[in-house]
Amino acid sequence: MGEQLSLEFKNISKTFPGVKALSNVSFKAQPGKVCGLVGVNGAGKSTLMNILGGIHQPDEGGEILISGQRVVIEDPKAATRNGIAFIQQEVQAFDTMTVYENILASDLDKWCKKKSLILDRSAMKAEAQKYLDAMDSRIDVETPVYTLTVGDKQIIQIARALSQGGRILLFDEPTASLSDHEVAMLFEVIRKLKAQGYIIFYISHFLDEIFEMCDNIVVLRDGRVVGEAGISDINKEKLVEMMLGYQLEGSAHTRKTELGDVIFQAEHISGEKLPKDFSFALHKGEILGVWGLLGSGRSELFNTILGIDKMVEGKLLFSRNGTLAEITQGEFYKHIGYLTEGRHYDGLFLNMPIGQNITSSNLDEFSTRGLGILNTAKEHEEARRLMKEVNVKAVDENMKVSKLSGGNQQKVIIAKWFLKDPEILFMDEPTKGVDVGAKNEIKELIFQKAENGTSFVVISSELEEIMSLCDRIIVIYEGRLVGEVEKADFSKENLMKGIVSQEEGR
Amino acid sequence: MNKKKIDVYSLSSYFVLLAILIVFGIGGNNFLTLKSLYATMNNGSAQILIACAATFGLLVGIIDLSVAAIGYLSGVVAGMLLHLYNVPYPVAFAAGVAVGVFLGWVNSLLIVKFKMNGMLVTFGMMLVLRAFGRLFTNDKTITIDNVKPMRQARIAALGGLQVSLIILVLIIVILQLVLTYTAFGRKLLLVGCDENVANRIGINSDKIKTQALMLEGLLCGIAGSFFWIVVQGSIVTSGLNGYEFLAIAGAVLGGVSLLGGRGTIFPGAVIGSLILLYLASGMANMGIDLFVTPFVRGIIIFIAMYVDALRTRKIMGNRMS
Amino acid sequence: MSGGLKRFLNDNKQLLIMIGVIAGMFIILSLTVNNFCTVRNLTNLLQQIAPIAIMSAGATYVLVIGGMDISNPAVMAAAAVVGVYYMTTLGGNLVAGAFVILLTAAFMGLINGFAIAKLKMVPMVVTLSMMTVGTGLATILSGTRGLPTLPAEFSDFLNKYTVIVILLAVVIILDFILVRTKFGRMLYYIGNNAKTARISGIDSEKITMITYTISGLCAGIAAVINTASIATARANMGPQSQILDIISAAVIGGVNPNGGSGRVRDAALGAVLIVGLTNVMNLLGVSDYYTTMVKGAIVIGAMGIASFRVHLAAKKGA
Repeated sequence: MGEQLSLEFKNISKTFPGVKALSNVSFKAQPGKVCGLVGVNGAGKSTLMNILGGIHQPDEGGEILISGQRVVIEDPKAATRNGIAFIQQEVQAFDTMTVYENILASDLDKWCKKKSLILDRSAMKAEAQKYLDAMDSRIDVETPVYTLTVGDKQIIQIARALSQGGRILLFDEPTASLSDHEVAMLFEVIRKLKAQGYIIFYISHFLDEIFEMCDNIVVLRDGRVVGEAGISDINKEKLVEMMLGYQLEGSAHTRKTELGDVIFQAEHISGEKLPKDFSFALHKGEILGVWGLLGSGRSELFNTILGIDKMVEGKLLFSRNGTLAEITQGEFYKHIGYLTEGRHYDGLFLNMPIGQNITSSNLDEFSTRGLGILNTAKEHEEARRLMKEVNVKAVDENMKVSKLSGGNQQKVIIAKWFLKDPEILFMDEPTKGVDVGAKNEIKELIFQKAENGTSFVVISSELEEIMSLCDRIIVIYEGRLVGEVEKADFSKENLMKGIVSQEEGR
Repeated sequence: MNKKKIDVYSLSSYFVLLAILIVFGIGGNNFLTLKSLYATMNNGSAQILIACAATFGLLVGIIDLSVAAIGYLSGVVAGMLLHLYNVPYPVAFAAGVAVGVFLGWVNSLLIVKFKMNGMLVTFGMMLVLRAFGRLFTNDKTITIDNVKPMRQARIAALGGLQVSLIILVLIIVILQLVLTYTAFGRKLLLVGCDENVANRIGINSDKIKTQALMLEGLLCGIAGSFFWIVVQGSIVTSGLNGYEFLAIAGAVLGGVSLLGGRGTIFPGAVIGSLILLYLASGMANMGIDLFVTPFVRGIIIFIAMYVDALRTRKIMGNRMS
Repeated sequence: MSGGLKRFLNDNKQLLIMIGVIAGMFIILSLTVNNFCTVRNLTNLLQQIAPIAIMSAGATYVLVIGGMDISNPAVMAAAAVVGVYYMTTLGGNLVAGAFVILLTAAFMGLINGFAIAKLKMVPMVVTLSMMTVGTGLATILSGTRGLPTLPAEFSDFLNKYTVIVILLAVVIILDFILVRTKFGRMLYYIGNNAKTARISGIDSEKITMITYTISGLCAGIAAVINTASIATARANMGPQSQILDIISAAVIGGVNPNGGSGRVRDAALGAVLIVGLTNVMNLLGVSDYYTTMVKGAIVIGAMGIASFRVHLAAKKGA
């Protein structure tokens, strides 16, 4: 490394079919500095990182310069060769293996003794120790990884990145699953690496972390760099404004919000990790938004209430015939529907027909009482009716779900829960990965259902969407309720208020 | 703290073995003599080596039910060459081992390349290979006399320790060294631990799995064409029958995980197999009904598998759900 | 109406292929083998097919939820030995004896199901242990001299015509349950995506246990039939290699070995094919070894086709 390490993006653009994800992004990162990369979802952060990681190629004309030399990163291996390493929020580790084996896993052949197949274990341990020492970590290189905390695993991931010759480190939401204490530890490590002259990128939704860790900030919006600033030249309000970039508008849909009585109440819900002591009430016909940053415990809140994760403390109250009474999770599940976030992993039976997917949560309706014999004619009829109702575009109900587009798959899940017609529908990111047209259709469906008296609890990380959809939004931060905003007061600033105040109080 | 806990776990198989030896030593007659201890181990040497072979499959997450059948067919090939053509023993041995490696490669082709269900494929293989073996031998018992000197070689200074046992110990030592000290051994564990992560950090897991299955075939070949036919001196149709189960069970008893990524040859598979061997010979020694043995063995194995499931759940914890 | 016909053809593709192959085999054999196409030979053949077909129906259930049960032949032998032991050595009633067989087998299936669903153990290994335990139990109870012969009434009542009726009844009922009832549908859901099934409110632990119990029960029915045909029970009446027949029958019948699809009806036809093939090879004087080899090749080939189908589907989906 004769020349000084540096990384420069020059005129990077990226066009996906129909979408311009990045346009003319140019900036330079310095060694020994932490560069914060901020922007709302869809601003182009991940596309840029994928280009750097060799997963995507930039359009013609863009260049990446490392230490002044033009480099072409054609695949992830090339990225590693050029000293680029990612530290992701989802820890990549081999649980039953020891720490040093994890750190040096990617390049084992290098560790054979001269001209033999035998591994030089003492050299490996010393090498692993070297990286841990560089971070002042006290992890024992011989312990198995499964005994470690997530924070320590994160450190091991960093050590692995360093062992691969990483000089440009990208931290992508590294704190999402860490405790406060672990976050503090991680920051110490990042500071040490910074002092040793690495180039560090830091991506986070947590603005406070950005202000604590970064030396300068690059703000992306709609695929462009809209601002570059030293951390001391900017404040939080200004940064938020740069990220959002435009005046927000009220919802287009005017919905009469005549809410009924409280139908459901969660009291002091605590899970094993998140959420913590969370309480809220839901009215009949209400669309309640749950808003929080990634890793704030939104999905965990749903999973804990519905008994998919263990509920350590708390109780659920549910209204039958107008009186609220305590209800068990098993009993409660009969009155609700749950649209999960990862639709491919746990939302659909991909290799089964649309019709059988739609009826899966409500088989009782199509079967006789005693023997449970299915009335398939009725099943087909109902499936067709629902496909029409939610407008699934498919040949017929016998088509396999795997052949549908993302938006139509999501509509199949919605149809499935509409068929069950539960009193409450929990929806985790109902429009994620769905095109704009389908997004609006799904929104309209939710409105219609709510007007007929179904209550909704909706998680969405898209601010505009959640504000246009919901009647009331509760804000979750680190598993706690930190704010509640009524429809009249909906604004990004008001929603951020709870989070900002928490971050400042930290 | 953590370290201590794990030591207890890996020591537990020694304790079980010791307990079996003590119980039968007290209850049986002449059970605890060097000669009988050697004899049990020598008779079980093929089983021990097949357990080691199965361990390599288990480490990369493949439950291979064809191990014993591969050993059987290798033994048949080696034995028939000796019997019919009177070839020198090394040639027969090499042929048997080559058959083993080849069959391991066939398995890897089906499982790794064509992504077929590993357990079913190897189960089918097991039956087909046995049929081949019976076809070659015409279902007859064949006595092989020209390996007699090798079978009877003993070292008097060590209380009549069979030379074949020394060879077995050597193989075990080499295997464990390969597992702990080579890059290959380490990669096996990494692939078994999490194939996706391994692929992502640049380990070619398909290649490693293929190598593991071929090594398995090699060991089965040695087990069949040396430890089975040389130590027993004859080929019978029921040779090595049921050893696939005993091999996997022994490995799991010794702490090799059924889900891959965790386990050792020694103590692991070897001590686990010794537990099963001495349990059987001890029960026979005490005159317990021969039919009861597989029954008791089945229950012990079941418990071992349950402990494995518990341990896996503990380590994987929430990741499993 | 051609759309409807197309649908029918598409839905029953597997069935039509199976029927075609079996019909072809049947025609060739009737023309070439003497005395093949006689009522006597055909009913005898069906009697031989019955135990395998019934056990492959149970195997279909287990495979559909993405499980595996290789203990079936051993459970069959153990239950038969327990039942015959009860009827002869203990002097029990014959009807009660049949029920003892069924209950024993179902109970062993339940233990499998419990270990797999509740203790979260690997299905292959659990059923492998059950295989040894079952064989051990059968060996202990039948002793060195074997069990005495049953009174003739038992075999007389369960003659080949009754067996054929039982075979048809079991296949029709189990196929109906799988395809036309809520319970059956749940099996497909679990086999397709266990997590989605749970989110859709399906109690997969309970259903897994019931499924393995049904598999055991099928082994029990096969045990009753086999007991009647040899008028006693032996420890070796369910050899290990039989599981290959059972699983290959299901896989040839289009049951996905990785779960999520398949029908009892088609698996039973698979059994007709496999057992028929064995029978024919015996008739032609082909040695046992070649028969096993051919069957092994068939199952590996069938699985190759299954994994090729998955590969194709993945390609189409992407």
